[in-house]
Amino acid sequence: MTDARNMEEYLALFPYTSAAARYVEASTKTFESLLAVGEFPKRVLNRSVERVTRAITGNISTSSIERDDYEIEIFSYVMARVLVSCISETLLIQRYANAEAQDAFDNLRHTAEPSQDEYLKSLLDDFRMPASMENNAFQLHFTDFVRYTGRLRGPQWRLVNLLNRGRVTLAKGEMIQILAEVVRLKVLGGLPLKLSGKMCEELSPYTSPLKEAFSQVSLHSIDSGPVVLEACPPCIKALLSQVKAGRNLSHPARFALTSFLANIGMKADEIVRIYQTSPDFDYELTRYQVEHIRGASGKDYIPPGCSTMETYGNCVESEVLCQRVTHPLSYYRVRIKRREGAQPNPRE
Amino acid sequence: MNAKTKAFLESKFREYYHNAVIGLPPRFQKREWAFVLFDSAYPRLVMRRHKAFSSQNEFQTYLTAVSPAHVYYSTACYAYPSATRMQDKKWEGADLIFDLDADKLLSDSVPSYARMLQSVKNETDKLLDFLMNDFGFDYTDFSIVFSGGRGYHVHLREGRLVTLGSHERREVVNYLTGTGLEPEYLRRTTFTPMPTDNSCWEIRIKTWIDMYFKRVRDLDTEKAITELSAFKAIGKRRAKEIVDVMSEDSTIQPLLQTRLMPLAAWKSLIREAISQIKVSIDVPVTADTKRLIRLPTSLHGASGFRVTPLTLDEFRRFEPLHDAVVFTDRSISVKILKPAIAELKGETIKVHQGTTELPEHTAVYLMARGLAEYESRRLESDQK
Repeated sequence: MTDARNMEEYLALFPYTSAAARYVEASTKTFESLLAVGEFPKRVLNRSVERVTRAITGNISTSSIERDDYEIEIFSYVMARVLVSCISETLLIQRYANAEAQDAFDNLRHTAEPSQDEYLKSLLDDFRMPASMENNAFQLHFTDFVRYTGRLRGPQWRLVNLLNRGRVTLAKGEMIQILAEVVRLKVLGGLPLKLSGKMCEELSPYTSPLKEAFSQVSLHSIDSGPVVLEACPPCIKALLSQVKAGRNLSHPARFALTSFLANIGMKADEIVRIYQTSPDFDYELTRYQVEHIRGASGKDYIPPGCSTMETYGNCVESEVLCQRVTHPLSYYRVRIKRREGAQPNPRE
Repeated sequence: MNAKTKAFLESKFREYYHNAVIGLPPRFQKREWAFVLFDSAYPRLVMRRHKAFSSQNEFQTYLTAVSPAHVYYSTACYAYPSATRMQDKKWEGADLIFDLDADKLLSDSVPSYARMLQSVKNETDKLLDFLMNDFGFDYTDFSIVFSGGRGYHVHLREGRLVTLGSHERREVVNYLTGTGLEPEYLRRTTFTPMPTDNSCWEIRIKTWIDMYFKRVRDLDTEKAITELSAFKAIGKRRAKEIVDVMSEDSTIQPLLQTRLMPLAAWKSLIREAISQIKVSIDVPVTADTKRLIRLPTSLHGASGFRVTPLTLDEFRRFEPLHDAVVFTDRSISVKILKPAIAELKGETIKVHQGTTELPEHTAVYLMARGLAEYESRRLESDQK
């Protein structure tokens, strides 16, 4: 970083970097002092509540707090991690990481050029991703590329379309997208923190309203509702129609179908009935296999994601929604939500 | 397999392990080890798992004491390799493994074992080319191993690879099998004037198509027309036009400029290229980050062959049915259970039901495969 001001701004924008962690460590401000009474701790806490709130509501922050206080940005990240750890909801933690990643993405995109390139270089360095940069194109080793592109859909993210002598070439926008994924994983790393009950107790005036807000938005759960076969993704529908047509499924396909149906709440009997048209149908065997895959809870096995489906040739990706999800279950969730949104709620 | 046969095989394996120099993989102390013994259950595979060794000596002592039928170690390194529950082992990384197996390559016909092995070897050669050319590895980055059975294993231990998760490894497999390559996507990028950033797959496909047309150009006109009109999208007349245009130029440029080749024909040509170029490889093995794999320099209990580590040069010259044979050719008496053919050490031996004398290596091979039982009482007299 060329000057101190830039450096501070960098740390404030990217508080999950090891550089920021070193800054916090070297600072005279102890963790205890952040919980004490005072103007600085108060502003840090408010800003950290805002960070978590944004993750819950999905709204990009329109901050009421002065964002130019770099230290508050840095320490509020530390404190936000504490807050989500006290709330300790897996889904919230994931959403929080997504929100920080989204912020990183926006910040990188909206920073003007000389600083933008400097930030990119510093981040790649900080994340230990050796990449060469030339004419707005980046060369990344394939191992770093595959590590962070698993959740991205579309041919432009597949190694098979890009690899050249151990490296892939990426446009700047693509590099930023990958860095956002690195950020997501960085933020996720170590969460939830192991904290004392006493500390969470002290923070409960802040965490309770957050918890409340989160439970409001997370009420929607697909698992309790009825099974809606029309909401299944095209890959699952294709497998279903193959079974119906009396064709035998390969082992991975059978596993995918069974675990998917079990996860959306189908009972073992109903699943067995689906396989009845299979030419090699064996009631006892099928029943045993279905029950094993289903498990006691119906969720002992999570069905394979889009990339696994693709590897085994079971992905048919025929719809736009497929581009936006990385897991057949997410597809189903989106469809179910849309249906619910479209239908008037009888209780209201 | 009767008790006498098991005892004989075990004694032969013990003899081997007593004299052989057994190579251990790097960081062997961090790996889980597993063994199948010539016990009462054998040839049913009952695996003794979750073993760990802290020194080469300890390992060697164990090996000669139990003289196992099969020896495996984990491709993963663990903090606690001997923990009996996987989640307690604490995974620290795993070698990247490729398994090339005849099972996956040949389905319809039943070719001889030797031919089968040759075709797996060709496939392995393809894989090595991909690893060096497309992935940019040096030949010192991988070790090649004849599995002692139906194929080859390739191990990579480069630092950046070992921490890759299952999903990332699948992306590597998808690359090798050409999964996700779409003719439509490729046609747009490969055959338009492009700067320099073509992927290695594009270059491979382009080269293949160049070669294809070169071959067609070398045919006489009638044959060339027949070849081209085999494409659904190309009729006789169109085929003749293409042949005429091609005869004027030694590159495929005119074809690209004239749009003589219909889109559908390009696509099926690309599809054909992909299926010829790709490597047939066992997907789950590579994607698995906690796999057990055979120890190089051990013996394969179902063939008696040595699991043979090979350098690239050795691999090129390697004749499995000759070079992986460790037993002698002194005569052993066996009872053949099923007619079979064995092709060891350059000698093809056909056997029929009944008692017969065979060279030791062939006798071990047939017994290990469950095609023969031990008959000779000569073992004791030999030892005098």
